[in-house]
Amino acid sequence: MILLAKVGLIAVGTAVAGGALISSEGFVHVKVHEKFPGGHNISIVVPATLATTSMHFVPKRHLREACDNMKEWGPTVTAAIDQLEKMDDFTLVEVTGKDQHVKVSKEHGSIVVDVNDPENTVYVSTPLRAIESTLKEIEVSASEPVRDAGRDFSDSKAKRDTKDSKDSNAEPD
Amino acid sequence: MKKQTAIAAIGFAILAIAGLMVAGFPKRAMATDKPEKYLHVRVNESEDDEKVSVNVPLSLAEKILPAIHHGELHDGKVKIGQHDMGAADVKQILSAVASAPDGEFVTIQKKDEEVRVAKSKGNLIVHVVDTSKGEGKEKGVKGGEKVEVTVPLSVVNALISADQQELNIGAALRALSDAGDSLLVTVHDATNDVRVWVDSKSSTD
Repeated sequence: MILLAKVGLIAVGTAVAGGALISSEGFVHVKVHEKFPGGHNISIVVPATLATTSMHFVPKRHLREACDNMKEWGPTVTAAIDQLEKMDDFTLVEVTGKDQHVKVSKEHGSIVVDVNDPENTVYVSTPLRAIESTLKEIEVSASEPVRDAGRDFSDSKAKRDTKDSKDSNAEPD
Repeated sequence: MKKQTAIAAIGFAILAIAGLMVAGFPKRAMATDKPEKYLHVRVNESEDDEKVSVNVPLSLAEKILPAIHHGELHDGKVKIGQHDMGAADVKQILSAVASAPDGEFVTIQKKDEEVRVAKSKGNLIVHVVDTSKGEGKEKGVKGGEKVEVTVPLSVVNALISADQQELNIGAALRALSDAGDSLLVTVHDATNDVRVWVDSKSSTD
């Protein structure tokens, strides 16, 4: 009985810790509702950790491109996220028209974009921590050497260059 | 018995760590006690019945500004004086206004335009009424445009605190944050109402 309790406790603890690890960066929530007849109704909730993890599977050259593109504004975004994380919830922008409503806000550690117009309703909630981690991941991945099928091109090129120079040195003998 | 206690303790520790990871460490507790100030911009357009509200926490602007390096803006300072007016001129004018006693510095009164620049109770005030744009020629609001700008002098002083060729936007934001709640800009014409102000509320309502 005691053994069963021990196993149960460890199993529950591990499950909770695993669940907490997966959801530690919160959840990305995307909801799209097309209002016309036959329109789509999509709602996706994904652990934000997946976004960070998926960066490992993106080809490095694409990440390098992304890193180059965000070079100028990356530090600004990082500074904004750092500060936003410390702040209370607030509405950054709100536009209310005759038949549309757009709201960008910070809610419970996430940036929420809520759009409601005659044709669509779109709701996107992205945790700040996930944005920060993803940006860092892009930066780190982009700085790594380009590898393909387990081979490091930069390393192999360096080895080849060294070999070539050795061969050329050896020729006169 | 000791083993059971140890296992229970480990279980609770795992649960506690898990709870902390889910909730996130209370970063907000590390923030200072100073109340957050927000720069609000509110635009009401009566023609299209459209309202726009922008609320920017000043601390956020203060943190972001030094990270922006774009165009003339670097490290929270903007370069001036390359175009029509010399940087020294702008800074000298602002500096002279800041050190002058209260009073009206500029008054222009034309048939359909009125401009006043004054210093009063620690504020620099610019008042413009332009009735030429609308159909109605009566002074005031209808048919024309009325602009009121009120800037605390502490903000003006902070703005000119940078080197000769620059205006220190970062310092101006800090000064704005330290100043009390204030209405900075109002623009009113036949179809639009614009208000820019600073207070401690996170929304414009």
